[in-house]
Parts: sequence; C-alpha cells; structure tokens
Amino acid sequence: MANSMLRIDLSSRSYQVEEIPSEIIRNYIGGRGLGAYYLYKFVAKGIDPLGEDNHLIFTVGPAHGIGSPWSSKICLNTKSPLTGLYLDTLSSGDLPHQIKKAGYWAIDIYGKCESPTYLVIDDEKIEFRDAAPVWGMEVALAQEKMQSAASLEGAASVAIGPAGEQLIPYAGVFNEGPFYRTFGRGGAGAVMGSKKLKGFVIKGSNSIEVGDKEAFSAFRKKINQMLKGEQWAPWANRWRRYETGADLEALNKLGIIPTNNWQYSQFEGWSGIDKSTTPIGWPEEGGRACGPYCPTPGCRDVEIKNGPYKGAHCDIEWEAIYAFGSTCGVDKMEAVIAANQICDEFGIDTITAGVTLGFAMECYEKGLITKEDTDGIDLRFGNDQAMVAMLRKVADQDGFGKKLAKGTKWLSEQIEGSEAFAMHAKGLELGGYESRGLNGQALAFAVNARGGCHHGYGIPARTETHDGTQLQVEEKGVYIKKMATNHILRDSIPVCLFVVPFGDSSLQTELVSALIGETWTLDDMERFGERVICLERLFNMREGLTREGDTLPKRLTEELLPDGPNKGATVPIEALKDAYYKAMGYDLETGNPSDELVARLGIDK
Amino acid sequence: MIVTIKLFPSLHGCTPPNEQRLENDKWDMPEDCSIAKALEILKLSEPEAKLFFLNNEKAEKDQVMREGDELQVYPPIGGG
Repeated sequence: MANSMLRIDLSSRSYQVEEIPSEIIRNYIGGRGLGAYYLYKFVAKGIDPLGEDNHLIFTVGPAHGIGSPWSSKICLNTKSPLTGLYLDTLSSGDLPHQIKKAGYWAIDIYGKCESPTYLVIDDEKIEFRDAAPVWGMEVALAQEKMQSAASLEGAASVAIGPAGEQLIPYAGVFNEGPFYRTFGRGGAGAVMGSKKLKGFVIKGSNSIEVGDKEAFSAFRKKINQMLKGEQWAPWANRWRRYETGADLEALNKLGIIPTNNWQYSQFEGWSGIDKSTTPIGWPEEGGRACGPYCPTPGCRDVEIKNGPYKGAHCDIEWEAIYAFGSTCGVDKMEAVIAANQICDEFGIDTITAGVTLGFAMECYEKGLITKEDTDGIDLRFGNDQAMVAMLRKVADQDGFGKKLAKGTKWLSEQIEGSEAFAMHAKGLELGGYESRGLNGQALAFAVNARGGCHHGYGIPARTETHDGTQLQVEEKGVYIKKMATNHILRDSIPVCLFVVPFGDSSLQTELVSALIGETWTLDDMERFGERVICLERLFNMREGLTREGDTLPKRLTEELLPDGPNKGATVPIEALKDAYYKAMGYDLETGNPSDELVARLGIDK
Repeated sequence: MIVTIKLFPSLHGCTPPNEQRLENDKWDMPEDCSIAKALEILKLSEPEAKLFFLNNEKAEKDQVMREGDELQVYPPIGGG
C-alpha cells in the first residue's frame, strides 16, 4: 500500500487521495514531523486562522496499526487562532490506528462547509453528513450520536464541543468519546468550528506492514523484559498507580510549582492537589490506557463522592492540576476535577483556562478589575468556588466569562498595568513550571514554535533539577536543542512522552529502524530533529516572527523570585536566546535560520 | 546513628525489611553514612531513587548524614 494522504475540500464537498513521496516519509517520519512539513506547504503566509484557507492536518506515524508499545499518540497541525502562529497539538487513542488502517498517513481538511457537517470515513469511502442533530452537543455525546449513525463497528471519532462551534480561541478537538482525549492547546477546535465541521467518524480495515518484522518483534520482547526487570519495573508500577501529579512534594521543594499566577514557586497547599496525598484519596485499581498498546496504563476517571462538587469527575493530570490548583491558589483536588470537567464538556484547553483565571485573580486582588467587572464574584486566589463559578461563565459565555474566553494575552491588553504578569509566550499560556532559576525551562518556553508550551521541546525543569545544570546559560542552547530533538522524534514515531526509558535516544533510533526497515543512527536523528525544529521556525518566520517574539513575561525576566531554593532569580532571557540561536545555527540578530542552513537540512523553502 | 528516611510511596516496595529498620521511618545507619551508602542498605537504586533531600535541602548522593538527619528519597519528577 502506498503512503497516502486523504485531502478533503469542505467547500466543494470533494476529496482526493494523494501519494506521499517516500522521501518525505524518510525525512519527516510521520506525526509531528510530517505535520510540520504539510502545514508549511499548505498554509500560506498571512491567512486567517478562522478562514477557509486554514488547514487541519491529522498525521500518524510508522508505529500505528501494528501494536507498537506506547504508540497511540496522534498529531494535529494548523495555524492557531490564539497565537496566529504555528500550532501542533497531540492527542491519544485508537484514532491514529484507525486512520492508518484506513490507508492514510495524513488527513488534510480545508475549505468551509455551508452548514454544520460531519464526515464518515470508511477506508476509501468518504461521506459528508448533516451535523444539525449534533451541533451544540458536548463532545462525548456528539461522538456517540455520530458513531451510532455511522454504524461502523470499532470506529474511532473526533468532535468539537460548543466552544469550538462558538470559535473560542482555545477550543480543543476531542476524541475517544467519554474518555475526553484532547488535542488541547492553541484553538484547533475553533479552526474546526470555523469550517462548520463537527467532527468525523473513521474506520480502517487494512493491515499494516512493518519495515523489519524481525527487528520489531525483537524490540517488543526487549521492552517486555525491561518492564519486568529491576531497573524499570519500579517506574512502570509507579506509572500504573499515579501517572503524573503525584510528585508535588518534590516539585515544591525544588521551587517549581507556579503559585498564584507565578507570584511564587512553592505552594503551601500542595498536598491537597497531589494524587498521593489528597484527602479525597486516589483509587488503586482501575487504571486504563489512553489508547491501545500501552503496557503501563494509569489513567483513571475519578469521581467526587461528597461535598459541593459531588458527582464531578474527570481523568486528571499535572497540567490541569497546576492550572486550576496552584496557579489559582486552590488546594482542593475536588474543585480542580470539577473545573477540568467543565473544560471537557464545553470543549476547551484546561491550561489556557486555568492560567487565564489565575491572571484574572491577580488583576482582581490588585484592584485592576472589580467585583462589578466579575459579575459580583469574589475572584480571589484560593477561592475555589469563585474559580469554578467563573469557569461556568466561560462555558455559558456569560458576563465576564466572555472576556476570559479570549485568553490571557487578549485580556491583558484590555487591563492596563497587567501585561507584566500575563503568563504567556507568543500568546500561548505557559505550562506548569516556574522558570526563574530554571534556565532550560525558561528557554524552552521562550523559543518553542507554538508558544508557552509544556511539551514540544521537552520539560527541562524535570531534568535540569536532577542533573544540576539549571543555572547554566551558554550550555542551555545545546541542552534545549537535544531535548527538543528527542521529543520531536517521539512525537513523530510516535511514542508517548512519559515513557522514561525512551529518554535514551538509542532506543528510539532502534525502534524507528525496525519500523521503517532502514537503519537509523543517532546522527540521522539529530538531522531529523534540526530539520523539524527549523521548519516549525520557518512557518513562524514567514508570519513575521523575529527574535523579539521569543520572549517571556516580565514577571520572569525582571521580577526577583521571592521564595524557594531559587529565590532571587530572574531569567537571563537574551543570553539564553543567544545560546540557543548559536546552537541551532540561526542568525543572532533575527533569531531565524539562514537560507544556507535551510538548504543543508533539505527543506524546500 | 538514627536517621529518618522517608520514601515516596512507590519506593516502599523496593526496600526489604532488615535489622536496621526501626519504627516510624527511623533507620539505624552506620556512622558517617552517605546517602549512597544508605541507598545500598535499603537496596534502592536509580532510575527510581533519583532525587534526594536532606533536612529539606536538595542533596547529592555523596553527602554524609548525621545523627537525627531526615532524608527524603523521590523518583524523578514527571509531568506533562
């Protein structure tokens, strides 16, 4: 079967299947790499993210459809309505396997429907169906209805919620029905809503060949042995028990937890929102996987049994825990879960929602906005009921909720004197890590193509606090480049970011070699990483981004950190950027790649 | 010497009971015992026994403990 891309034109209700040249697969692998390639190729400079010329490009990788461990991630690329820049966003589930088995490495959707529509994709059969019966529905119910109507047993599905339909700039795209897997960041849901596309149902029936069956089989056996062995079994058991969000005591001691909108780096109430210590308890049994073929399933949908949030439930991880917890000064896990559920059902990104709320809380406490602005809600740090009530207003598009729905950057532009503590980079709210005294983390936030991203270039806060390099400057350019490369490869194969053994890049190259049937070396991996980092940058460069756009809020670059082991630190952002641009071979003045570098990396500019 | 050693929950399963273990997370360790030596006695190793705090300050494996010290051992921090 040739490597194919399904291209769907919503305006003409037509589609075609194009072959992806094998050279493109060789250079970009799949997933994030392939998505970056096609986003740059298809989305022209200056287009309106909510216009018909934007594209939604779902990409899968060589690990899909064949039972490769931890390989249920899928990438979605588009131009972000929140930032106006490059966006990649990942979700998990059976979706990528169905896409691959349907015969596609990528699904590219563009144009605009005349009326609400959803798609049914059954291998090569594509139908455009009327979405009026499901328009306005929350994502899980919408997927249930679309799947039922499609009658394709074992199909996967994707949907936007009311937030996407209402073009909320941080609306997500959701899949896996009641499990609420999410392409969360940057507003891809609004892009889909602007196209009047509710979602799609997809079923694939082809079997997929592995490049080198013997090598792949040996690799799987090796992984199974590793997980039972003395070295990795403890990690695997811990992961199955908690996944993320159970190490807040350590994060707190290290001064990593963004607290009260990054005013502090330690949170006194950490034990209330840590899975291993929260008074609500954390179930031992019931861990499930986010998608097929995960050997270390640890996701849990936890329901609150009593109190004011009785009945609230969701599957929660660190980024939502910090966003609605420490960032808002809230120490009750039940409130954090309730907030996450509202986001799931409305269809928005938890990080942007929580950070925007935390920002608004600081504006309120400083008197920059008043109770009149907040519709009578006492929007203070730690007031969990106020936080949840205000989030409901976002979901109901009511009063101050309408302003919060536009994100932190927009809101800070309306509130004089607030810009310094609007915690975003390039318009995307920062992920759950302090950056002062954590130079690698600061740099990753500042230079990441999609903005204040907690994922794309790795999470340096996790490693530099362990290897003792957190205050280095010159060395951080190479540090971030290496980390970004490792993560880009993981997002392209793909293999889950959380699998700690894959921090060893040689394991990744072994897997890629087995999957594509050609030997990949660490050098190949480094070239690949450089190529994709550069391509992501080129997209933004074409939109006018320069060195000045790689920055952080003044809170991080100018305000001394008042607490924790990194007390007194600020981020030396310009020196860090110099180090990074040097490591990447970019021009120091513009922060952008030269034509010579682009050509050397084999990018067709 | 008697020191307190607190382990992240997932590390409890890694430590076999032995004659040095006392009640309430207290351990009877040799004088001038380093963190590395303590890990050896507790049969803990990387990658899971990765992060150490001695009396609430981040510590390295070669640091020596004193009577009454409190050592906390964590796995690598993870997030997303």
